[in-house]
Amino acid sequence: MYHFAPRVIYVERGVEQMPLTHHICSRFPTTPVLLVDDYHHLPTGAGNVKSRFRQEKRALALAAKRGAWVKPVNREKRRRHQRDFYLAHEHNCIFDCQYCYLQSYHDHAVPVIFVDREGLRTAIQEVLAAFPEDECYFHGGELVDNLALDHLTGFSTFIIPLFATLSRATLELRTKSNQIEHLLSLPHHGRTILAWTFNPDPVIRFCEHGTASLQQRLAAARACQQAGYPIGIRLDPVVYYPQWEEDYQAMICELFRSLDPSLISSCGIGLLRYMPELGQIMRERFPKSRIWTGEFVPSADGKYRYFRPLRLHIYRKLIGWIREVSPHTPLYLSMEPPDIWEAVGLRAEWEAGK
Amino acid sequence: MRTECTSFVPVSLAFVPLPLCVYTLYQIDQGRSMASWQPTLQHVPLEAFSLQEATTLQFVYTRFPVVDDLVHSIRHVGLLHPLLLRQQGGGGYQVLCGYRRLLACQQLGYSPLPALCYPPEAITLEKGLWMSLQEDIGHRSYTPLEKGVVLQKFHHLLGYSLEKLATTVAPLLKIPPTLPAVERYLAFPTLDLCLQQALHHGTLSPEQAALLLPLSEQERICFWTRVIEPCAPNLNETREIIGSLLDLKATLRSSMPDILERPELREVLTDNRLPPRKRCQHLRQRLHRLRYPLLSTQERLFRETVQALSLPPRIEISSPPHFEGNSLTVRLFPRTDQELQALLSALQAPERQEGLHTLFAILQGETLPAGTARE
Repeated sequence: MYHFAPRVIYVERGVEQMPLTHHICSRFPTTPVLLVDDYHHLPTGAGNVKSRFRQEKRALALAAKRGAWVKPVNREKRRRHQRDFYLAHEHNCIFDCQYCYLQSYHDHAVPVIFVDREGLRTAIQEVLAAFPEDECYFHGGELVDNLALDHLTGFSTFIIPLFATLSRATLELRTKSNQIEHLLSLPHHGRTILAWTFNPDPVIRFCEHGTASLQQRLAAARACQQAGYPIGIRLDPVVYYPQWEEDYQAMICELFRSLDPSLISSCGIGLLRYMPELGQIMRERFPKSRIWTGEFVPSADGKYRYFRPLRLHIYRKLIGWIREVSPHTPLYLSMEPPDIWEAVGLRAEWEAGK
Repeated sequence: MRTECTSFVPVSLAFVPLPLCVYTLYQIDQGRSMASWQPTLQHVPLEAFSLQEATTLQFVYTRFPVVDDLVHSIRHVGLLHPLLLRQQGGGGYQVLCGYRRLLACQQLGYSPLPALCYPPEAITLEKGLWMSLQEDIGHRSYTPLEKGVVLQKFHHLLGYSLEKLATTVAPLLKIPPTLPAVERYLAFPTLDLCLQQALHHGTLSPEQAALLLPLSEQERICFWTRVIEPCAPNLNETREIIGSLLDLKATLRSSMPDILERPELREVLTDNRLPPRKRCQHLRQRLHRLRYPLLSTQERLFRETVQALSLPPRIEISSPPHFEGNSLTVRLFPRTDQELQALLSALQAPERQEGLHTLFAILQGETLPAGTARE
């Protein structure tokens, strides 16, 4: 896995004296530190898309949070009386997955860590107070890989014990990393789900630059399961390519053989999709990649997806393979409308989530 | 009377009669004596112009000049307005205003030419470029290529930044004052000559030219000669065709010229019996089949199944675009209630049920063969 060493650290004025700023900067004593007024406007961005991303991915920004720490997820709820939120405690990622939507999501690709983290604790408590009847599900990995920089930020050692003390709240930390040793001894009380995105090794090698291999992720998930954490399996994004059937079927068998299916909290499936802007960036950054040359068509929400009959075909295969090895693992589809759930035999799951 | 200015401010000279235009120059003077700025009326022989030398045309933005109308006019009524020239230190003249008039006179052998001549120290490079632009743009509209030439001169000769170009020069040229627009126009004069000519003459729109910019020189020329010229695609079609070709380039690991040489595409592109619009339509269809082989097979299966239903002409069945939806559209066009009953019965006829079932199966992805991903 990629070991991150920033070539420059941008520190926003006002957070220079924060303990986390000191802690992170002290880990890179020879890296130049530049004071900036606003992390949105960093002195990067020169050159073409390729060189801009290369520059930005090798930098780090430490900043103060100005917007909301916790935001509602704007999509259909999956479970009755469950409210979904996502954490905005860090932005961007040191990994470089070709399909990553973060490439077209923020002003720049510099990983940003908000160092005034105490605000997050308050924000979570406010959300729980605002919805006293509901289970609240907090997604930690919407805007960042949760473990990629954890060795620097110590985020999980802050957040996992916090959720262990909360009732009605579940945290999901999602990752493609295998850096989990420091998590094994943390008190979690089953309130934190550690979720791994899994893809067959050919996809990881060609598309998920800097991430842990399938075997490394699997070993990490197994260790965390043994430490009592609920584990989430995320097959998202699934990529369609000539050997996809053999590779995904073998991977699914291996996943459910290596992990205890009864302790898998859920398995999410999502197929590769992208907004038009991301398509342009992918083409420019990875002109030799074939990830974007699939049979994508614009769908109702403006995203490009594999055309619907092909999506259904892929979903049915994947669901069939999972059901063969683990009939009771809860399944859900990512970012698909109800008619797709119904067409692939997940109507009951959709109904349960209404 | 002289007006003092603290900084150089371009003053619009558009539609200003020439003597007044000359007077206006005093207003943008920054401190020299009025006498040193006085242009003198001279009669300059044609031989004094070295039009092959780049410096002679340093202040000229015109590309591919057409002077037939001026030749006609000068032949009949003579040269009505003197040229505006800047004398060069080592002899010779630079044209500030009147390049086309000069070319017309050259064609007619009209010499010497009346001209208002400035001494070299009176006109800085920046002032000269502004004068030439302001004078010229008042009389005619610039082509996209010429707009690009203007931006290039200010950028390369004066070091104007993209931001400065966007705020000062672009509005005069009626270019959106944004960096991408400025960058786009700046790139036009770097295009290959045949594309510059097409852009100048309007057979290639600036939007189409912008789509060609990311391509290599070889691809651009190939696309121009093999696709745009014979097929005359509109902007959206150009975008679609380029997108398909670039995707196929990656998928097939092939070059754009080689892809266009594939028999199924060459057949369309070289079929001279087809009018351009038809050729364009066929090209798009064949590219679609190459780019989306699976989707195309399903579309073809859908079409063939609908045809096999042999529906009465007053019934139409269609799929959602790209099959993005779970329902068919069935349109009936009855003229009477009896006809409506007949159409409904035709749809419900037992011999059509299998075909209708196949149409729904296509939407549900049940007709895709296993292991269908392409290499």
